[in-house]
Amino acid sequence: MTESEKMLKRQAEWQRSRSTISWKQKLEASVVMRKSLKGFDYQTRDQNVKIKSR
Amino acid sequence: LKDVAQLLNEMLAESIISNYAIFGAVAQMRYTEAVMTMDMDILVALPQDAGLIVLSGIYAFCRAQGYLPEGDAVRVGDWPVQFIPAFNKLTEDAMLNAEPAEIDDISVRVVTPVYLAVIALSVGRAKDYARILALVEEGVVRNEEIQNLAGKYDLADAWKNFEKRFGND
Repeated sequence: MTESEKMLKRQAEWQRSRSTISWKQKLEASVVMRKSLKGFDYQTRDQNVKIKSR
Repeated sequence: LKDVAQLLNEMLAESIISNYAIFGAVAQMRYTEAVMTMDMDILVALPQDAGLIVLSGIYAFCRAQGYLPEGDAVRVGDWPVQFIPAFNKLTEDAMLNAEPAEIDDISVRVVTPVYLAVIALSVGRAKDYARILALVEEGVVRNEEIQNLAGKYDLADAWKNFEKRFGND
């Protein structure tokens, strides 16, 4: 297995591990992400419009 | 979250809506890792006598519970909740075939992975394609299942194009 294949495998495992937390925990994490974005300027245009309108 | 779940079930019990199912990013997160989303999307079916202003009953009910409109959504705790009447056969069937899940021990209805994927295919923005890829990568839906369901809703070509673009990655 090449180094990049190993890296991709580790990345996939990490992603899978994050998806095994409960739905409720993931929704709570999503709320934190949304609230964090409000303090920054690098939202996508679509998100930016929505954030400004709320 | 609990407030949203309670609100949905109360609206159902009071016949403000005749059916509902959570879809979009919030439904996706039941099956994949957490993603950023601005709001919670709920497909709703309305009673036949709902009238011309279809969402007025929902908004009035929410207001009576203390949940006020905010932009094109209703704010329920941390979540702006968007109520979207099922707008075609695909979304009607997605709602009918939704499966039960739980939020804080309260039962809610959630669109299944294969319907989430086919709705995403029908919308066709970059983030919708990312949703399909995430669902497939998690192994909660297979390409063949998406292909079969897409065919039922005149989306066979859209699926072919999707597979052409992303199928080998």
